[in-house]
Amino acid sequence: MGHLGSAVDTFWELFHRSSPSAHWSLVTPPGVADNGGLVSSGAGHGLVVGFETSQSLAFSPLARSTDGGTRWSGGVLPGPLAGVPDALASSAGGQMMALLGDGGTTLDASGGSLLSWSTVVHRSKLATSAAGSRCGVLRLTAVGVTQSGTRLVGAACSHPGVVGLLESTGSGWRLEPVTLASSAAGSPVEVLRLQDGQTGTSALVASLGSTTRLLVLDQRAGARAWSVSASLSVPKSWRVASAGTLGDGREFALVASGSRQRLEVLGAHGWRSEPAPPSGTATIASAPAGGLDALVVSGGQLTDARLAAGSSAWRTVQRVAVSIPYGSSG
Amino acid sequence: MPGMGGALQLQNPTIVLAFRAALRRDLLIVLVLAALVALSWNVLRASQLRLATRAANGGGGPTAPALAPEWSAPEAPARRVLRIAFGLLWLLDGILQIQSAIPVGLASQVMTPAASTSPGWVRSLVATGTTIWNNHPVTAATASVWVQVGIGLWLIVAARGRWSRLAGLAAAGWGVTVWIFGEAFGAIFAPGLTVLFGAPGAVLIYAIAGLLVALPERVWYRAALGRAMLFALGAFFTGMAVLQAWPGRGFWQGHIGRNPGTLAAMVHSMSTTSQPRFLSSWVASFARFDEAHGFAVNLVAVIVLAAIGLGLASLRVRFVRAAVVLAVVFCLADWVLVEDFGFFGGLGTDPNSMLPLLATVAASALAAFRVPEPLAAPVPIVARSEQGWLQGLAARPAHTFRSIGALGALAVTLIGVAPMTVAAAAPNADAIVSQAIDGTPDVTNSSSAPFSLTDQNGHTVSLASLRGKTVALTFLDPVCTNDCPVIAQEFKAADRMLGSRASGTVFIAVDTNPLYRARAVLLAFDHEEGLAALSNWRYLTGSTAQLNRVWAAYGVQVQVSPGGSMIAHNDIAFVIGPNGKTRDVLNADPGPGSQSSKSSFAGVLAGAMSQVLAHS
Repeated sequence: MGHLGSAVDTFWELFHRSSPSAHWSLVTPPGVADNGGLVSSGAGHGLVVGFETSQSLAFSPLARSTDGGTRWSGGVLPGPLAGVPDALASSAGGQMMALLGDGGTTLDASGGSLLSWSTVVHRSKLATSAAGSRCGVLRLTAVGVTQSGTRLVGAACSHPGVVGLLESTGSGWRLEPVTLASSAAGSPVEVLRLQDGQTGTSALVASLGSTTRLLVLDQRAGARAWSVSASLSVPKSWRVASAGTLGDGREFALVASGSRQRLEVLGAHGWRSEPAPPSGTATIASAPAGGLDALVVSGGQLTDARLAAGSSAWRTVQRVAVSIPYGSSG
Repeated sequence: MPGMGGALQLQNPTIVLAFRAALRRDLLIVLVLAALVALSWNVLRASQLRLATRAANGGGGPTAPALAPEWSAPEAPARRVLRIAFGLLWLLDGILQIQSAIPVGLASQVMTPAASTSPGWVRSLVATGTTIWNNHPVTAATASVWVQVGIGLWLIVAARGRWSRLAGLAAAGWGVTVWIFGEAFGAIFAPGLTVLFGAPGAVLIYAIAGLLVALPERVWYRAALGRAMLFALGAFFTGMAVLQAWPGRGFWQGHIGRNPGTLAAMVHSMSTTSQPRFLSSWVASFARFDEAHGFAVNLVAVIVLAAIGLGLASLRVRFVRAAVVLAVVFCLADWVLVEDFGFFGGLGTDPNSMLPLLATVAASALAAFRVPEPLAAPVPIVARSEQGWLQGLAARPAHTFRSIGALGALAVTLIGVAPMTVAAAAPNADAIVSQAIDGTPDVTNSSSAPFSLTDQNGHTVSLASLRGKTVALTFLDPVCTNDCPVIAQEFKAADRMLGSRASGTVFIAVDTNPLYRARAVLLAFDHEEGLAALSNWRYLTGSTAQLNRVWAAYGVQVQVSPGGSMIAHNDIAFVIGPNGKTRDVLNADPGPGSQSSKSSFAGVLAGAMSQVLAHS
């Protein structure tokens, strides 16, 4: 939010609501300038937020809240968070993973303390492992921790058709067995999102051919096999502005080209185009009764626009005015 | 407060006052020099009169030799035109350097932008010059005044002989220096080169003129020099015509899409420079005219440049004369309508290239077609062995005057060169840069509030435990994104500047972030700033209550702002002596956080600590 054309006057804000029917509250952790961005991860031990680096800050502070953002305690990573949405992951048991450095240079882990981290693996070492070699690791793009504590890493692979989902086996790394349809198997694949929930793990991947194809991979808790969804074709000139898993388990992809936006939701019958959300939509959240909430940002204002299930129009349900601390970062 | 630091104002009052004070001081020296020159001249003239009177009265003693012309030919008109024209130009340039925005603005607003579109190696070279300038803004600005005034006076006063040639060399040397560091080689390596905007750099023409003046005088008595100069100028103008005609550079169009063409855009921007309104309206009108008739304007420019070039290169009197007339009209028009006189806006340091170019064209024509004849009668040269040195000086008053005047002008030049050379060799920036941002340290001798906190390695550190050491104390937020990392670097630099004396010092920072107090966070900051290896660095933290007490005791206000912003706190530093007394309080606002401001503050801090160390 703020003046998005100026790096020092762009501020990332965190909003929280206890349920889809509740109102949003501003809960951005205090104490650190967040011009570089925020990465969040939530699980049983609370919500953990990491601050991306900006200006002279070269490492990423952390903040954790166990009461929905009312109070925060501080922590720190030994380096800068990678600039990807899933650079932080935590399990219900308190294990945490963090992807550090440009392109995911190192993978660090913590037993639960925000102050004590150790390096699990360097990207270069992972890339030369058997699993990494089969992928042709270019970048590490996401981390995940399953409910059972298994560590997962997502990567951008150079070898066509190989999905860079790597699982830590304790003694090494194993490439997850994922078979893509032929339409996506001929192009390099990049893991965009990696999320763990109660029922299992889901990953959003992009097959980067002449057209980008988005696919959702699902692995049920305790299972080895991955299911692959139908693909969503996105023109190469479009970018994935936001994507993830809604509270009701559906996957969404908000794609954009300039000021144009498209919202696609993956349901039981494949991808479905929803009515275009309001201009300036930053991301999507679940709304009650299968609806969708578009969170729209303009300057210092957040607007929650709701699309009820079966409706074709977005209706404003909440506005939050945020006092943007312009000039505080220099 | 974090986020409050910004670039130094162009008219920063501290620097402007210091600049003016330095100029006044140097002016006093120049006036003393002028008085000495006048006195010497009077003494010698009086001596000459005495000798002449004695000889007229038939008195005894050595007779004054008859005054004799010293040269076998008068000074070549071409050489005189060059010498006096460029002498006046250097004088003007020196006076233009007196503008109050020059110390802060020249490097950032003129030198760096001039190099911005040039290749990396040029930008690197210019960066060396801007670093020196930014580190010593007052010295550099003052030096530039006197060097140029001195060179101008030298060229004018020393008309003939070795002194005159030396003046030419000095002009050439300084001209080349300015051409490289101040004009980025006249932007000849950058796109968009055109003589209309000043290519190949005004001061290069000054340097070439200096080299010509430095030539032995005998070459001026042959037309070959003039012909060579004319031919070279002809080739230059013709080349510029070709460049101007080159397609794809935006000069043929008054508009490129919705934007003005290259020439119109440049002239538009010149018209917005601060200047008398009637002048800016002329320039703006020409910009609008070019926008409407870009093709025609460029066509005229190409034809005129080619005509001047071919006319000069023809070496035929009639064509050269016509080319000179055309050059006068064209250059004056360009000087007014495109270059906009070159010296407006508060940072203009010369009238750009057209006047020097015109002077060179005129001199070239004179050199080719007005070669002086030697004097008709042989000159009886009085043997020097027949004179005492005083009589010798008295016998050649013009030469004597020139020598004394040249010495005086050289001395004026040295008033600039000497301090600038010393400054350029100094590794650290002048204290004035820090003073311009933070003022001068408050010197005191007050008791220091005690504290006992935990350092980044878990050890307890109290003020009492530091007795016997000179302490630099400040307050830093370990997750700050701008000011605090800069202040940390300044502390580190001060430690380095102290050298072996640093063993008697401790550099301490107290955490100012109540939300990030863990040692792991301090260690992350130390690692980020390269402080982990500094044996006399301590980063202290404690409980919120402990920190609050220390902040209050040292006047540090800490404000937790809404989410998204840093902790706000004032930037302050203390020098505490070995006896535990506070000796200096410094405003530690890092301002722009530039290399020069950091170096300067570090120097001020190290200086304050050195004073305490020396007296303890």
